[in-house]
Amino acid sequence: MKPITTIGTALALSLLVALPACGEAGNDDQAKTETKTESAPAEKAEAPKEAPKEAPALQVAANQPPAISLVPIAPGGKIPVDEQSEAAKRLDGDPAAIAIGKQLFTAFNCSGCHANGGGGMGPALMDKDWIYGDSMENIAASIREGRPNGMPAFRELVPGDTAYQLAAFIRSLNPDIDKEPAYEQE
Amino acid sequence: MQLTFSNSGTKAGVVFALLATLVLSPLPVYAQQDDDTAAEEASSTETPKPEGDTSENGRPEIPAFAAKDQADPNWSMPGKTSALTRFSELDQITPENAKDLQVAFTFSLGVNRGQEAVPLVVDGTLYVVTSYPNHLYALDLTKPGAPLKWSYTPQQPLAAQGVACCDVVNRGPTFSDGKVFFNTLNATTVALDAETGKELWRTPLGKIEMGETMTMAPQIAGDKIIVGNSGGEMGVHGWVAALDKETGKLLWKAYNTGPDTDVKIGEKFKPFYDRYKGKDLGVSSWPEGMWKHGGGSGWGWVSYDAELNIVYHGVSNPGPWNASMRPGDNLWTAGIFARDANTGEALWYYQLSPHDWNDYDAVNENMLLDMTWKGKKRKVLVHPDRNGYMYIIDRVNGELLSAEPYAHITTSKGVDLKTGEIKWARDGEPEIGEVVKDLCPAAPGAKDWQPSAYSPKTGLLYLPHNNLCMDHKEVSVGYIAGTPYVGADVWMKPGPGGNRGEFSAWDLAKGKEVWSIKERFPAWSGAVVTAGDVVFYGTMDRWFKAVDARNGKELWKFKTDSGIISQPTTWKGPDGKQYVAVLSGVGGWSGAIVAGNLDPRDGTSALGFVNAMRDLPDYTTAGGTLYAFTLPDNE
Ligand code: HEC
Repeated sequence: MKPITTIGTALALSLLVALPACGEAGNDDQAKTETKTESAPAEKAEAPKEAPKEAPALQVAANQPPAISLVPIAPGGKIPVDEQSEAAKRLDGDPAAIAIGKQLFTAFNCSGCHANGGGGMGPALMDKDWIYGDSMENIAASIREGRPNGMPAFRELVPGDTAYQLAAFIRSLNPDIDKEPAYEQE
Repeated sequence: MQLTFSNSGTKAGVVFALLATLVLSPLPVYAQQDDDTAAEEASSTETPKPEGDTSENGRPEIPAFAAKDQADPNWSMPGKTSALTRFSELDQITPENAKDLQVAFTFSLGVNRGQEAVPLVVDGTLYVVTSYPNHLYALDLTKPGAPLKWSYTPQQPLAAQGVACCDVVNRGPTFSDGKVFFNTLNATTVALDAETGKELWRTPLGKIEMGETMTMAPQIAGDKIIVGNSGGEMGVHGWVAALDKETGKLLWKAYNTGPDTDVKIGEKFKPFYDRYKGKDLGVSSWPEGMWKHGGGSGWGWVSYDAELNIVYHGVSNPGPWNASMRPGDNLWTAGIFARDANTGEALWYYQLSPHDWNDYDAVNENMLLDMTWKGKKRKVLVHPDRNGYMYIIDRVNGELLSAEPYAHITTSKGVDLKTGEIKWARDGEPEIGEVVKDLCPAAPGAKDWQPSAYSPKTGLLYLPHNNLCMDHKEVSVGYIAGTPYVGADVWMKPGPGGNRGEFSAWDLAKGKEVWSIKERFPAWSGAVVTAGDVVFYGTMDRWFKAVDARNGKELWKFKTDSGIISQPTTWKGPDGKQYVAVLSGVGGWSGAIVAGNLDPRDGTSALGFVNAMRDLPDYTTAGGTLYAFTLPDNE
């Protein structure tokens, strides 16, 4: 029998160590905020000011990811908002990002729900069907915020480029991802 | 489909059986040709008598405590009786007239995910629960066309769907004292007034945030209802619990790993084998702390011996699947507990797959029967396990009596009847990254949850099961609550012969197969057998079949709208006629490729099942319909 430590990659191990700390911090903050709101509603207005100090996890949100729509249609024939951040553009198709994304995909147990892209508890990610959009920002948003039918919100675990590395890997599973059928005109 | 008769008296039958042995199967069992007496025409009403080498073993009987439920023309609980026998005394439908069966009514379940549930009928009302979102429908059988009487849909978060390992299935409600009980996917037990559908109580028992769901059918045990959680693939801390039938109050909750106090191991615990004796083995048989998210869920069948007041339940696989990460026997996973129904205290335990390395959950049905074993009367428990052996265990003291292989097995070389220990066919753990090839049975086992049926008339156990092998690679995994804790890439494939499923009849007294029907896909539906000597089951390629209980001859079949993975039942309608009901609706783990629209290019999809089911979409689409059949009025 092998010792357990040889099994995990260094990545997975560092995650394991980091995770409980993360979780606890998150819970504490939540608990504090909740108590405050309950006991002293008058202080509500001040809460946002203090929040960044107490909850470092929320600073990811302060980076303000670009605006991104979930659908290709908008009323009046307009083109919906589709901003791709610098990081998204830089890492899309980047072999190094894809390689890291592949490792993260296993380390975060994405593979447990999505297999190696074919799906299981979660939908297939290598096919052409996208519920919540297939752009780098769409996929990064799915990962950060979660999705209603059971996609967990990984926000705290995917700071900085991490969500984009995962997105780059997912997009690499389907090389035809951006190919649209040509629009026929008479 | 091919049918082989091992007891066929015709020359053609013999030739065919031999051919089947040579060409299709490495199993010697098809060649067994022991008597001609059973080779009657299908029209014969004579029953084959067990005879020959093991005359000391008598034909098993259904225990006295189950007699009342067995005789009930209703079908009020999933297993027909709390002994889980699935035998009905109704006999209007026979091998002679089964060919005339017709659709009596249908009902759309409104959900296109796998339907594994059991349709119940009590005094003119049919109760059926769907896969998520777990609608419960009550149909009025006293009116033409069986209109909807009431329906109920529980409040539960959409997110529950994401943590259900193997499709969002539900295995059915149960009925007692004018109440219908069932579990919802978000790990909550609900009781409804059977007449009005009014919610009487609901008890949340687990957290989807921790990967806990509930899919099993509750079991009534006197004034209690016994339930358990799912999540063996999510690193849950598995348990089985008892609730008060009247109020839903939690009476006891026994964990399946951890310290003795959590597992309810105390003075009453008298296991037959010494290796289960010792303090806190549910902690010490794991690497430091790993029992806390070691799986061992309680998602399977529960049986109840009302005379002994004992509850029997299996325990799921340990987590993660990656076995190298958890050296030790990983108690109390992959085994069977007998518990005092009043207190939940463990009475005995037996481990079927110590240090499980193939996802061999031990949660299949524990059928309670009484039989003469080697000349001695025994109260036994019959358990066709995922690891491929048909276990017969003394249910009073937990002693193993027999463990005969009923499927193709390469992962072990038998079970030592003296020590009760399985002889695993491997030494040590695989290398990192090594793909271990041709492990049989595959992860879903020789047989998964799909329940068997027993006829005291034929002495045969009717066994829907799988014929699957797998290639398996361990990969590293870290525990993150609410995400899968698996650590393995699996590729399943058909077992020898190429048929992925099989429906067979097993002689319990002799310990061997009597006949077998090969199926293209895993036989993932339950079985029902009647005093009319007819057995019913469904297939994933959409056939609902009636076969002769005595010889396996196909009597009738009907093509439903979607594959069948549910549990058929039979009951007497208000018009005095015998009906058979079944749900179509493919899905579950085996049918995830269709129900979840998975990508066949990735064989590891659905924990490796997709590799063996790539052609399922050619045979069935998703669906969800209740069918009821009966004979024409003039018969
Ligand atoms: C517990 C199971 C689970 C885990 C773990 C999980 N997912 Fe998901 N994922 C889902 C489910 C279920 C959905 C579908 C959600 C919906 O339809 O609302 C989904 C949806 C998605 C989508 C959107 C797909 C689409 O069609 O728009 C992406 C992208 C995705 N997941 C990526 C990931 C990544 C990357 C990870 C790991 C960081 C991950 N998932 C981990 C279950 C999971």
